[in-house]
Amino acid sequence: MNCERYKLYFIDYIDGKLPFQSYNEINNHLRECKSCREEVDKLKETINFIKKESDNYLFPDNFLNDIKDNISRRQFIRKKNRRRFKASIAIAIVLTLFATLTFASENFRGIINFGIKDSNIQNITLNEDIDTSYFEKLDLSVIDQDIKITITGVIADEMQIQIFYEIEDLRELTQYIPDENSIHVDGSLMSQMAYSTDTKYIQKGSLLIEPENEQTNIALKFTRLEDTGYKRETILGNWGLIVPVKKYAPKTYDLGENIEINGNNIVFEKLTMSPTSTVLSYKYSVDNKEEKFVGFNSVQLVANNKIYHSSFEPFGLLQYASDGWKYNEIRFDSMFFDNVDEIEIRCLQYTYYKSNKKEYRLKTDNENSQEIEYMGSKICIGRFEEGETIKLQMKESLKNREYQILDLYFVNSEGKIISREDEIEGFFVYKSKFGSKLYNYKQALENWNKIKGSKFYSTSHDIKLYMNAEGLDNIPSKLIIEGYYKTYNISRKINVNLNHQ
Amino acid sequence: MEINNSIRRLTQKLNTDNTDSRSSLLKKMKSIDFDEILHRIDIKKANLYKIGWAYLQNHHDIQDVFQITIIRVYENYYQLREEKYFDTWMTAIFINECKRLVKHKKKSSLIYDFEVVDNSYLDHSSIVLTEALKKLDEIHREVIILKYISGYSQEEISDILKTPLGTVKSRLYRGLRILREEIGGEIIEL
Repeated sequence: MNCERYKLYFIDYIDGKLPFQSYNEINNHLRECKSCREEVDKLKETINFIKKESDNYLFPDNFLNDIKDNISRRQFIRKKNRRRFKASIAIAIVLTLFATLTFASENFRGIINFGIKDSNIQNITLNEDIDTSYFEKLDLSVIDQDIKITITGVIADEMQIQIFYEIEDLRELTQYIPDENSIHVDGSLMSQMAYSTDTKYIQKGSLLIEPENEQTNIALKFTRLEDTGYKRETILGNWGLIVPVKKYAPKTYDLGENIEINGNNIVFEKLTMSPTSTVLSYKYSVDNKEEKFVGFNSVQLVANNKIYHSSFEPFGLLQYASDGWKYNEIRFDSMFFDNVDEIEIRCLQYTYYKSNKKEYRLKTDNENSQEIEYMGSKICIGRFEEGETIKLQMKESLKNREYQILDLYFVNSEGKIISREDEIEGFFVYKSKFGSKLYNYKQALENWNKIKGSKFYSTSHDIKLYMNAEGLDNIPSKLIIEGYYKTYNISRKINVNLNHQ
Repeated sequence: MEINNSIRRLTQKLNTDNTDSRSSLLKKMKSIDFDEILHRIDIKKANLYKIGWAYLQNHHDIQDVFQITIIRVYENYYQLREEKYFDTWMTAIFINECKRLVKHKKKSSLIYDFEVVDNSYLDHSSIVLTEALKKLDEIHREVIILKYISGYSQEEISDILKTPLGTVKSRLYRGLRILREEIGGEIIEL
């Protein structure tokens, strides 16, 4: 038996770093070859021994502080042997730095953390363009633990309430920001932002809240504040306020504009402008077409030569269905104060769903992975643990790829659908004249405006199959792919005159 | 459809990475300040200390290597072509200084007829490992130390030692086999 070629992979095999195919190959070989099995066991033993023994290499926690002390002395010694000019500058810098360090704290780490925290604070300045007649200026404050929290203003509409606050350290030592998880409001907190300020002991920020119902007052309570300085302390306290809310009615325009995309009829129904956002509502008919429209991924509104982008949404998500139609909406930045009469709606990207049912019988043994093909793309399925939950991993190739995401499920030997959880990972692919570039979702979010036209492709599924309450057998016997989602780039424009509505 | 939940979860995953903002800060400067070096060393200090121990088994020597490394990084930073190689570059400097000190000590131990070893941080059982490591050739020892003691990936080791990945792999394999021979029966006690 030619074991040599397998030995090359042993190290990676033990690390768990082999891709599916190779992993299975090695597994199969080990099952058949005793000497290789023993070899792998010995390697594992040795590696574990090394790791365990070296865990005993202890070091004193503060040893870097001693090093910091010694550096200046060492520089003096080195000066004799090295380029004098450069060394003397280095010494001057070190001594100055060193002096600052000792003065500021006993633990240099604190200074570094302070620097990191600074860069986390988003630099957003209050939009001066906000028409002050819609911005309720307030001056409500509460003091606890020598810290004063003041509500300075509110903007409210149907969609959301934005509350502006200031946190002032009355002892004038540091800045505090609220701990996100400890802000209590009537309604759900959508986001909070911090603003840069010039004043050292005051931190400004705002909260975006989705209101619960017709409220004239919002009860707001902060219970934990974080010190943004190097001490990074948490202060517990009780800062409660009642914020009066005056909602401004949004401006609503009925549009009734049709567009036809690939045989699907889509109607832009309404445009709702509020002080904090703009929402475009549309509906599309439910029918048994081959290619069903699912939603818009990217739409732009253009008014007065200004472009309003839709928020990041890699897939138009189904909102709700009723009376033969499906409804969805797209959110944009506010144009409430921009005096808009005419709008151009630009549809740039949409997703559709196509049925294309394929069934695959699954192998029942654990060890091997299985390769299938769907629409010309290869998919590899591997199975892991047994026990109560069965885990599957599916890896999809990007080569010759014709779909974005699959609509799939698993059935057991009785043909019943197995409850599952599916964690999907993938990439956004941006095609330019230079070639294709892949972005993970975080990179895509950060660069969204630069990668217009990019499409999302799933590449891996981490699937958990559960037994349901009745003890239903969760061993998958078949994979069924019902169909797939596909995204298209288009360029369709509709001009709408708001005054005629 | 369940698929919507999966997609929703996808779009909601967002992490801010502290070190990202720091490295973009680094990019702007051709030189680097001590603050930043100390910070980087602090992040890696456990990994580096273990490398140091595997070579030197002596706390003061290891401290010396840390100091020299910091100074070298400070003085030679302008030579670093790309920020993303900083960590492996720094580790390479560290491991080279360890090796130099080992050689230097070998030479000077000819002069002194005793060797002062600081055992205060050493648990007796890991002497087996350190002694066994000393029996390896340097090329095998360095990869084993970097991978299984210090936790670097094979790609990182390839960068640090400026050695092709395949070579790193085969040296790891060979090194483990030799080590296994040296350690022999001791492992069974675990």
